[in-house]
Amino acid sequence: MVFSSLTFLLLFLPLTLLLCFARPGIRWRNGVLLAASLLFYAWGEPVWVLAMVGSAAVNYLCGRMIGRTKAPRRRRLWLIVGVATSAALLFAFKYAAFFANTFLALFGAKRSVAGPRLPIGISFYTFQVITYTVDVYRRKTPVQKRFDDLLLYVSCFPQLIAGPIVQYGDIQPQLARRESTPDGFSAGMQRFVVGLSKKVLLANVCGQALAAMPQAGEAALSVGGAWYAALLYTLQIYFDFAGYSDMAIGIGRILGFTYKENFNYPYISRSVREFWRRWHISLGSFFREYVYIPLGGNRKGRARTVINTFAVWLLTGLWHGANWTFVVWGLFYGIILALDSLLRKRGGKGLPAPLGWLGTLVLVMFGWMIFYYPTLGQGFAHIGAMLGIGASGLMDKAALTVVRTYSLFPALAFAASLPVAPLLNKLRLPDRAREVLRVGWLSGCLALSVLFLVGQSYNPFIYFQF
Amino acid sequence: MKRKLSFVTALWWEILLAILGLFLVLLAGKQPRPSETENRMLAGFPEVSAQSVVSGDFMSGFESYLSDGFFGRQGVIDFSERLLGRFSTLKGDELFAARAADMEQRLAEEGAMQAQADAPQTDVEAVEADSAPEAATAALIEADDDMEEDVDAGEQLSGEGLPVTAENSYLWLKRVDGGRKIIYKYDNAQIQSYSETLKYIRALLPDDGVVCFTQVPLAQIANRWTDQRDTYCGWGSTVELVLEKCLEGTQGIYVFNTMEILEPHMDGDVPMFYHTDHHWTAEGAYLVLEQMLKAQHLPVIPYDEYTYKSMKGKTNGDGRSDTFNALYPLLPGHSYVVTRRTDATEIHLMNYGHASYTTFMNNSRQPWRRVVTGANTGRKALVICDSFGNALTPYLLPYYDEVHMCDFRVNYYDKAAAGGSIGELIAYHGIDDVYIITSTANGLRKDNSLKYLPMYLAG
Repeated sequence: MVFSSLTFLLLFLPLTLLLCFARPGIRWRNGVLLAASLLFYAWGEPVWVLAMVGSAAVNYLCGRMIGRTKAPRRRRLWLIVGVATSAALLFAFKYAAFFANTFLALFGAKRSVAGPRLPIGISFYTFQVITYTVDVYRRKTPVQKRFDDLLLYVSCFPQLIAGPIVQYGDIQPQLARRESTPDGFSAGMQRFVVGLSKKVLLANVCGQALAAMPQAGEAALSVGGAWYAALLYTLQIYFDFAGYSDMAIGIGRILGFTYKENFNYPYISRSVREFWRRWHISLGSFFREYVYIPLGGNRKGRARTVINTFAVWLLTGLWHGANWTFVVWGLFYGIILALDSLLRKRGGKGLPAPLGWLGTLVLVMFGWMIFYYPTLGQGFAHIGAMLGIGASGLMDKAALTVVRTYSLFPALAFAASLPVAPLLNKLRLPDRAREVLRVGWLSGCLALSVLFLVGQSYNPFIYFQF
Repeated sequence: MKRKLSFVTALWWEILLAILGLFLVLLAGKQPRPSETENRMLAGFPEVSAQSVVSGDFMSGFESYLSDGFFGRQGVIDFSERLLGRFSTLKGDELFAARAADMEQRLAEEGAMQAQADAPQTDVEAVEADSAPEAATAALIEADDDMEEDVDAGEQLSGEGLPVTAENSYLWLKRVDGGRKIIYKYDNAQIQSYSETLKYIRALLPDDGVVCFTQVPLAQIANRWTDQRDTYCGWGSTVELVLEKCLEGTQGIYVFNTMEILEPHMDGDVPMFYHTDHHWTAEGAYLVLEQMLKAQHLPVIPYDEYTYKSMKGKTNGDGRSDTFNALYPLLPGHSYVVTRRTDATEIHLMNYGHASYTTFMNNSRQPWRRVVTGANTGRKALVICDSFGNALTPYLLPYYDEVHMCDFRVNYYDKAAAGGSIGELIAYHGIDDVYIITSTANGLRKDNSLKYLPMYLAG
């Protein structure tokens, strides 16, 4: 089930909330939430819901075993069993066919292996369940004795299938005790509607425009058309993913959970480093906490730091998908950040702010084009066309039609990706008037989103595929 | 105070969603139903079974059901399109072109998808399933390649009324500056091949039988002209001339140029095409049938001798609405859906409850239908058509004892359901005359006419 579907919006969400708040008490609410979460996942994955439950069960048992024993080697053994089981599941579904095909291609085989269909959200819940076992092993958090609570942490529907990636240590206290207040409900609902509007009114329309644009490998691209398409995808992926995160954080807040922010206006960044501090923050935190630092981080010399950095970026790329495009996309950022570190250490001052911002945006757009296309050839052809290499002129007719069809829309969408809302919040208005205005405006957005959803039979989130 | 406000707003959100959800569940139509505007079947409530739940079909079907069954769906879609349209700086002409292309694309895609869904039914269907997606792709490429070519006033495409000697024939809009906007190009070899199809049909009929053919432009093309009189002043087509030339020497086949017939009437007060729908009006259909009857030296019943029910349709995204003048046929006309040649289920001839094009012939889409007219002329007619035949057929009733209808499109014709190939059924039912009424979307550039009609004729 997707958040931006009528089923979720008008049936699942109101019914779940009604049931959740029908009785007081954390056990009732957790019970309803767990049942709703399993239904939510089974709606899209009626069979593979069992894989998620299985993964949680194995890690639950491993956590219990780690908690029971004091011998370091046995503790480590149970850690390896838990992490390896989850990682193996992810590998089998996501990477086995990719590596097998790469191996076959190396030996010139003409056959290829077809992988199984990827269960929705497997990358997200695998990472979440791993954080539990690792945190228990590190003694950062107590062992969870209730399987239903651990399963609720793994399967909790707001963040189940597209993040933000939550860490067990952050959620554990909230599983036992959390408060749902009218304030939280109202604020959460408003945040949810903001996210829904980003997805339905901005991301989907950008996607619609992008679909009408000529694609590299299928048509000759003009310079203007290539830039316009890159801009559309840059906006689409941001509003799509940030919209989902807003919805997740909003629903979490309604239910009394506090999830960390996942985006912080990434397109105002003045360096690529800053961009990654603002984009998909929960993924960056995960890799820093569970990969980069355990590998030694920057504490083991320059060479090791570079290796660790590349390892993280390689994994970041691979996490997004089993395809060379994602690997290259990850390494693209690895190289840029390594160069950035090098220049900083040599005392480089960096670019003036406007140039830094523009340069970062251009690099990010290049990166998205590698990310967007299914093959590297298409991605590089598109970037080439943006730079005038192999382009069919400054502007082509098909692209111009799309530009004229959507005219100011991308500009408005781009403005919406900038921190405009905080500026509006600074307007001096009485609290009551501000609240009424905000609720009125967001009710309009909600109504408009529902209207747009009626004409869009299926509108999956881009990040579902990861 | 702040707490109270928060409580009220929290309640407001919950109630807003719950009320919408309740409305949705109560008002969503449970049965699949056609959408003439989108030219597809809207989803009904999906089948509930263990298998459909495990496979996920139930869930995806339910999502479609809620979306397709949303109350006031068409109005909602029109509104959101109108809202997005505010961003567009495209001129009217370009929008009309985009709409016509969009409709053709939808028709082509629908054909491909339906063919895939129906694949296992018969041998013929299996062939379609293999080839239909290619057909759809080809159709799209054709639309891209063929559409929108301006020919300046100085360039001679073909003289008015002169035999066409160019390699291709065309369908165009006349520009006020004397030039022409080419809408479609046609391949003469394909027209030649289609003429063989017409000859084949003629050969199936008795000696005094006739075949009448016409191809009707989509309303999007007609409206492009009539809504932009500062740019366009007429239209034309040479396809019919080429087809007639290919049929030279063959008796009993008449080709009618709908554009030529309707052109003098396009400036009148009575619309020949709708604005909220891609079809022609009953008045447009009547004028073409009038010419067909005259060609056969049959008396023409004046238009005004019929009585009509006028129904105002819904408003479209441009703020227009259409009046659907649905005639009451002069004869009782019992209408049957025929399966396996003889099993006949009676349905209403016209559906006056619909303020849309679906009123005509009760939105007939079945592979084979038979109307027992109550006339006593000793003759039977077959109308081979897409949905454009529905507005014309009711006017045929006084001239035949039975009027049969066959929807020849790949996604509608089913040999097993109809009980045979079209050729077999012409013989079985003793058809005397055949009328072929097709829109340009399924006409002489399209697989429905060029590939599937011959296939269904021969079985």
